[in-house]
Amino acid sequence: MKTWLFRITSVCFSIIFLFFSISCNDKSSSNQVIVVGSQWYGHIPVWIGIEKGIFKKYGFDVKWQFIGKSMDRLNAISSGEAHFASLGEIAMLSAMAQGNTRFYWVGNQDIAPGFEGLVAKEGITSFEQLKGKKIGFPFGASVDITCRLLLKQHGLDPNKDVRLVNLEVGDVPSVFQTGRIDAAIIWEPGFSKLASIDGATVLGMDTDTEVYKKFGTMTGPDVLIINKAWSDEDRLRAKRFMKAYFESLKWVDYNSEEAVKLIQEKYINQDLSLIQKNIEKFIWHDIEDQKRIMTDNGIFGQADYILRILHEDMKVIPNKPDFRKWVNLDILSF
Amino acid sequence: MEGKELGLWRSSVIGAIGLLVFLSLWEALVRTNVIDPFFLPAPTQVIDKAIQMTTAKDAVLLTDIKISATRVLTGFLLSVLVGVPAGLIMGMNSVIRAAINPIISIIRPLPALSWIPLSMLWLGIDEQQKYAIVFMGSFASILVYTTDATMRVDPILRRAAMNLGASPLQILRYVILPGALPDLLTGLKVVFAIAWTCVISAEMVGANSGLGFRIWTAKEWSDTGQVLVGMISISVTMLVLDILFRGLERVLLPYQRKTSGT
Repeated sequence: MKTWLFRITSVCFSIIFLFFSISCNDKSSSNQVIVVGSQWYGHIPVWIGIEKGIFKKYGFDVKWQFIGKSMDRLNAISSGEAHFASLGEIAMLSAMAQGNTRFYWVGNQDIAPGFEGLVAKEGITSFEQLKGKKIGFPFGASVDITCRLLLKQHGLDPNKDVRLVNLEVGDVPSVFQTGRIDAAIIWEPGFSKLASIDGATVLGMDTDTEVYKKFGTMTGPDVLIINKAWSDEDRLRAKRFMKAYFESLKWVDYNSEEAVKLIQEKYINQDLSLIQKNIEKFIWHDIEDQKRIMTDNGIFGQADYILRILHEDMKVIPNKPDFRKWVNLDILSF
Repeated sequence: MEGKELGLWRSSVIGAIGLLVFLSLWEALVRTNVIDPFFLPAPTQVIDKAIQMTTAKDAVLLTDIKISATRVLTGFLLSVLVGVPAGLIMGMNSVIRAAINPIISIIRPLPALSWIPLSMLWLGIDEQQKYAIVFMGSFASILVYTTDATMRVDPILRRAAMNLGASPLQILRYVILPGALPDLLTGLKVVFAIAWTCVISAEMVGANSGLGFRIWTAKEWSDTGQVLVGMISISVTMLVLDILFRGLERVLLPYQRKTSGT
């Protein structure tokens, strides 16, 4: 009996030891940075930083990893497996409300309104006609709020007058095309696909919402987050990384045409001219702009407004977190 | 001590103590911040969440359980209706078995998740699509279990029945079915658990109700407490249905109960 127990214990300890050995050996070099993101244009500065060797110039070996959804990116950052990401503000605020303190909010790199819209299928040309119809979109994303705001503005109750259907980002255009849903709302590049379908009508854009009218931003603007432990471990390294990132962003701002050509094939599967056209609407915020934007008169006012919607109207978060506690602008070398 | 069977009462008490120790340890690790509650909420927090989801004005948990269970049962019963007769035929006829086996070998390894894109195109996003995912995820396994169970029936018994002048239907009714039923029911229990994993995949997209939908939506709002409530609800529902299944097994196989002595 004792021998049997000893054997089992030995095997368990060996497995644990092996697991930790592998984990320790697997730790990447201190200059390797894992950046996670999707096909959205807001990630262009990272792609350019890699392609133009800007990160390398600052001593970083940046690895890009595709993770389509904002909350999944945030979870990757929280786990410590990824270090830096751009994601939608709504995912960040939701994680804060649930007490996730494993990241810093370090910036808002762009404003890109007019990239997500509600599109209805042939025969539906007004909001009134949406009554009793199915609207598909990925729940929990910026479009969730945009859709609800647009419906409310047109006198429709999102929970009673229409049927909201949760869809994966990539599935939205194909499901809409088959006519299984009556309307859909999604951001680029999916939005262009929806709008180009025969007979489809764009009923409303994010620029039609009260959020845009009040704050001049889309409902879920892009935010930059960085893993807290990685940043605290070596603050100079984090500062250097942010400097490299914003240098890359500046390059994109001044060379957008060339930037699009550099990244189109490798990172975005979309027509070059369409990306060129869309990217012109982007307003990039460089490192100096962050001083003005990351304030109560800037994006913080908008974040307070979105938190009220999430907490009081949609009741999807348990509290309204003081997001200012997550803000860390010290690592931006102004 | 080794190998000695514990009585039902003793094993239940030991099981309850084990569970209590596990839950206490979990609670203590979270309360002392060894585990970040964002990553794993304490059991008491999960219970609070479950109560909130059950009793609040917009309580959804019981509705979700009912909806998911309905989807599982419908898809699973459809698989049984098609898979069991087809499996019996395949088990009894080697030509049909040889013709169908390659197709089943292709379908069987496909996870339910892989059927989602096509099922959405073919069937849309309504209930039939959810049933279809469960059906596709469980049908091939039921077919294989039934075929194997049928083939395992002693051929001497079949030959004896034939020699005594039994018709193929009589052989099926009095020889094959009673002989294959124990293995078949064991297989169905395994596939029933698989059917639950299918429904969770089916509710990932194109749904606005059900436990899978609740888990995936909770993930989008970073609500790990709700994710755990959804997961535990699946386990509890599965446990209840498993007890019902065992009851059915005892009714259908009274001779097994007697021989096993349980």
